[in-house]
Amino acid sequence: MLDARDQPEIGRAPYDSWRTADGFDDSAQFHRQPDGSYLVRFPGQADFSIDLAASAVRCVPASEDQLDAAQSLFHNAIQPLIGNHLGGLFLHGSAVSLASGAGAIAFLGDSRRGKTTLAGGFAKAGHPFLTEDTVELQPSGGRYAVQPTRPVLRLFSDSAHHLLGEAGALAKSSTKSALEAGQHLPFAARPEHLRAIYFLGPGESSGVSIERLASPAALAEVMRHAFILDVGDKPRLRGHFQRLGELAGQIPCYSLDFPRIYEQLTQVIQQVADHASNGPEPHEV
Amino acid sequence: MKSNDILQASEDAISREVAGEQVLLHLETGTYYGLNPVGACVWQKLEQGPTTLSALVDAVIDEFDAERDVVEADLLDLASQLVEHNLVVHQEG
Repeated sequence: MLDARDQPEIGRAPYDSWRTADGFDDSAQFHRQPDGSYLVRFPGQADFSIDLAASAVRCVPASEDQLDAAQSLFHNAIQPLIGNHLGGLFLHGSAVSLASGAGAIAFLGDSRRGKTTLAGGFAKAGHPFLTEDTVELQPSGGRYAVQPTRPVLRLFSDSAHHLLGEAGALAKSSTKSALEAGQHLPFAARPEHLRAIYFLGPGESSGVSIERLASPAALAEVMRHAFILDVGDKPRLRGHFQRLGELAGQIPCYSLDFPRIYEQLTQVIQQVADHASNGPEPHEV
Repeated sequence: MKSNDILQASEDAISREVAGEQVLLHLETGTYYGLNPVGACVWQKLEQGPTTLSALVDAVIDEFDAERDVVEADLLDLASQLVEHNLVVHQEG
């Protein structure tokens, strides 16, 4: 990581971008550089220069107070982008290990859909979390293993307070703060076989709604939540599509929606945990 | 669209079978399209190279033993949708 500095004008339009949850601003902008490397800009947070030929990533935070954000972006965006580009399987979501021993379940969804809060709620209820923002899957023994990532949950202050009470009190802030795993928020440090994937809805349901997705619809959904570094690299995109197609054909996938009311979270977690533990098992490869 | 018009799978379209259903993805637009077994038969033929609507009709009749009138109407509708979604390139014959 290099010294922080203001983000300079780039002078050309990005070839791709991510939109914020409200759909108005770019949360990430992707540029190709003359030397063949990529520049991924997170406006106001950090610039990452990715040189795949040299296996090097350089990070320039946009200011001194963005050092932690830059670190999180490296783990939760840059590593998954590179991993998928190189043939891996990284998805935007959280995952927990079911206390029933049935395996792991993943929650995929857009930003602000409550992935981390849900993972924290499961952990508090005795289902250790594996990851809070990036689900890395590795084929293992005929199934997919969810890899544990960092034992940290990044939460807004209201979510932290709900999960841990005063012990989780964070300064009121419009950005997330990190909560370390511990006795009250256990972390699963070992890979766990993926049992099911749940795609988080917008929170418009009046109760817990779980619906099975047919595999083709699941493929379309899972593709939306994959990290893609270069949308113009069609051979890699084809390979990525094939890998995700295998995943969607093997792992039971569901749409999940529920009201985002903290007082109801315990009940939601119980229903989802029961549903996952009693649902169909993945097909073996 | 006429029966001797040329149809060709777009270079930006990729496909994969998932749980018995063929799924198409347009790489530029991100559009997904699910095909039933007849549609999958048509797509297989399109992936082999440029062909005509009438050749596609023949292929489906061979495979499914269906009536020509019905197949022609169904494939005209399917081909129009695939062209509309830029998954197939259409050239007048």
